[in-house]
Amino acid sequence: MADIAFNMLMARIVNQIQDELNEIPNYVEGNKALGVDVPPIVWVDDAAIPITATSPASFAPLMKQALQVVHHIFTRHGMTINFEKGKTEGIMMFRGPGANLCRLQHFDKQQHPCLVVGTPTHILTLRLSATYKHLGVHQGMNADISLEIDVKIATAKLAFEEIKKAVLLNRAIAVPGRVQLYGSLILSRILYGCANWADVSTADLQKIETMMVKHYRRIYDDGFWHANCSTDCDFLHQHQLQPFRLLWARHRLVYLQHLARHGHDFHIHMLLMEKRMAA
Amino acid sequence: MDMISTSICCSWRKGWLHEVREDLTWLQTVEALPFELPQDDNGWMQMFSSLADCSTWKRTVKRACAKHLMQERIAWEVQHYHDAIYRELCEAGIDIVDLQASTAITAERFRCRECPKEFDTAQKLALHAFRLHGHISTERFMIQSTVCAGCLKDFHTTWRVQQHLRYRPNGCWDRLDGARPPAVPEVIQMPDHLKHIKRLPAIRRHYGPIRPTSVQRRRIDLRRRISELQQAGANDYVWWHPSSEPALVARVYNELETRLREWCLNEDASDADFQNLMFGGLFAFDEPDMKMARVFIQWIESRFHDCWPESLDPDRRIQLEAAYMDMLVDLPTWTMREEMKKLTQLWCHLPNDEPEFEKPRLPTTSRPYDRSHKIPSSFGIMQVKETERLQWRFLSRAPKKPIGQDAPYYVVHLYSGRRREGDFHSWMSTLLQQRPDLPVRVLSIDTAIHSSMNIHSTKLWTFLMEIAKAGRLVALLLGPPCETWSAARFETLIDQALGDRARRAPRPLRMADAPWCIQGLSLRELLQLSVGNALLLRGLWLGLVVALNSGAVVLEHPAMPHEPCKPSIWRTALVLLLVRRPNAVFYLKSIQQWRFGSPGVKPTTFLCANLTLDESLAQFALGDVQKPSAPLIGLSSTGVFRTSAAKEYPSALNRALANAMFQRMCRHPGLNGPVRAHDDSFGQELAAMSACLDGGDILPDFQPECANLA
Repeated sequence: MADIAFNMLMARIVNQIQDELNEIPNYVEGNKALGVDVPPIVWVDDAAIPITATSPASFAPLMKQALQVVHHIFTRHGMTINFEKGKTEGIMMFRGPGANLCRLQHFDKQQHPCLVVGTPTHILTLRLSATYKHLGVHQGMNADISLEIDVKIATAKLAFEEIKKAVLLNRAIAVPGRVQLYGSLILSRILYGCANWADVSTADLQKIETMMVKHYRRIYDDGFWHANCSTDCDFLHQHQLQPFRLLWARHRLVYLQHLARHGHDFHIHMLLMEKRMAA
Repeated sequence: MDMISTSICCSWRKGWLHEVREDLTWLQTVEALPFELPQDDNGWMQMFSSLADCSTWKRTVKRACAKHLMQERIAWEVQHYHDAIYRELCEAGIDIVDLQASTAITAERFRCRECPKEFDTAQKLALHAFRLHGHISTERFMIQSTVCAGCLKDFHTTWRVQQHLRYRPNGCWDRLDGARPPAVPEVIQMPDHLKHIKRLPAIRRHYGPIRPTSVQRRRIDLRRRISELQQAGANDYVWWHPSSEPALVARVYNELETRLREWCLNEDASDADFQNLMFGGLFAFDEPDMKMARVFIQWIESRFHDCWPESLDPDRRIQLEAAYMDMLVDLPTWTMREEMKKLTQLWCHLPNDEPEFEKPRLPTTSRPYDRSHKIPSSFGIMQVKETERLQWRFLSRAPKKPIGQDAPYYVVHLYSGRRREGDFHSWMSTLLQQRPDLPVRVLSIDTAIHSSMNIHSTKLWTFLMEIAKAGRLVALLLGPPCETWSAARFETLIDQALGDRARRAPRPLRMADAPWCIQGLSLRELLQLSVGNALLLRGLWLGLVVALNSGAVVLEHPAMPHEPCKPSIWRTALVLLLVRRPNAVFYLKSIQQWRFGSPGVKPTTFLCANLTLDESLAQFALGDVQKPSAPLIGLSSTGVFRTSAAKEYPSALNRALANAMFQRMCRHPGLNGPVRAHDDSFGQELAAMSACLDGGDILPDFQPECANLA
């Protein structure tokens, strides 16, 4: 019951945030220039508010205005935003003419970069971060997926090491069973959120493939430590293991249907816009 | 809570939908899409609306992945077996040439010179050459310590010296290549005190003279040769200049000009006359011969051409040109001066001491990198590979190995089906009773006899290959399943139970130009093909090994259909290679099985090696049989395929084949001689299992539970 109440309250707050943001001229101009209105994205208490400005120079003032709005609405509902590290942070992604200068102004400092905003009741300090994690997915300031992949690989490796003795390298369990467990316990960590990856570098893809093959080889006990060692390609074919590229395609295609069924118009609109710009 | 902010920009990225389109393109090759592949924004919007309503999408994607995996497995298996057979042929000492590769080597593929493998990059090829063939780089032979012999710097490990030498612009390779002979490479590990440290000490240069560069070596060599030449010609007036004795020179010039005029006036004078006249004039003076030769050269260079009469005939001019050149060539002074001129030219045009290296070529791809990752598929290029294999030719005949010395020997009937009276095994056993001195065991191998007799079993396969390679498998009969190759798949299926009505029939799985698999098959059909391919190729592999080790081989399969589009193993590149004359390993023999009592006509071809079948087939063909008129196509009234009646060889054919092999064994001297006892319990076990006549039904050719990995 409490969860339902909280969600209802959050829905109301988000709507109010959206309404008040729409009254900021710079915010509206940014959305207009972008060609699409992107609303705040919320999952229970995890919220992300995308803001777009028309130029890098007008970006920081707009963020401060938005922060004031958000703080005001939350205060009005009896809540205080937690500005601690890892709780509420801002990611600034500068693009276009003047972007370098803005980056220097904001990030070339001795202390941690932050935005300070004065309100009638509080002085708010919003930490600016290079990366953030929203719903378990890491995003970087440079919109590069490498960080996310590195984190996923590290998580998978850690999970493998944790359960290898008890499960994955336990010879009391048949190999097909262990492979199945590997898929559900380890691969799922890699594949979580992979459906919306784009522009992955070949090196990153190779890193994932290498890690998977290495793990599979340990499970099958078929590797360089045996005299008749096969190549990775032969190994995957011999045991009929799906390469990561195929798993990735499968997840992406399934996600495509999710998008078609449940995706918002702005989401599809942005994807089409991205495609047009790339073309 | 996160505040994500961005300022508007143009992106160089291709975008998520671009990658989705790649995936959809791949999916289209495996499964039919419920929508058109989107081309523009409208197409995408239509695709989204179609996809939202598609209830089978998830299943389609899952099935596509499974089919893709199976297709890749088929492609890999076919390539794997072909590689294995190719290696077998190479190991046997047969030279194979790829006509296509020898005429047109594509720039994108890097082929190994020792095996049929090919790679995308030179690095992969080098890695393969090192791992499989033991090739190492040329730089390794110049490394005998952790110190680079070119610059005397200590790099702490030989590996780093190798990296250093590979970087040509530093000039070290230039100092070593050709300057000293290659020696045995050394591998020096990191010294103990440097192990487990992250940063090695600075590179220090040792004291000592640095080797000359290649240009410096050439300069030194030229200097030596010039000096030697100067010394050699000093006593022979080669470097003496006639201007130091003008009176003598004037007299000699007058004499030579007089003699030249004399030669020109005489229209019959030859080249030899010119030389005689000139040498006569020179030697008339009381001076050293070499000195006069030098004056003559000076005269040729300064006055000779001015002395020619104006009215000299053009033909005589040509003759004169040749005559004086012939004379000059005979003079050592002239030769030495010419040599000196050449060396001087080289000396003057020597490049800088430090060689200049070309700037590295710009990469063919430019940033930003194309980050598209197509789903890799070797299935799509199977047809191309098969076409390439059609260009393989034997350059030499296979050298025959002697038969093995260890007993017992084996006669194997592979894919024999169930044991029965009148099968090959029973006929062969009967014949062997006539010769109890022959230490031969008969094996019938099929899952219909025992489930452990699966050719995919590592133990069984290893055993068969071992006895084949040891020359102990003296005769092999095999009939790989033909259901996936059958020409009946192209016919309309008539069902007698339905009143001779046509019904849905098994469709073709192969075509003549795609003999190993075609596109658009179901998962079950792909698995069926995988099994069919593996059984045939394993059989051919084993048959080849037996044939190369002097064993008799008979491989039975339906004869080639007349229609060129229909598939047949006799049209595959591998079989064509093995039977192509003049260096063929096998030969073909065709029969019709009705002559031996088969219920159908059943045209059959045998792939034979090391035995003759003609006599035996003629001897045991039945005389009192009529050629069946009805083809074995369709379903009978009991609902079984009519071809199943002709699945097992007729008894007379078995007898003929057994007799041909037995006769060869009796004639073979190696089998009759003394043999050493050989313990093989597994062979005994197999013999005991296959000797049992009591069991087994006719099993289908395709048994998914027996399908295994190569």
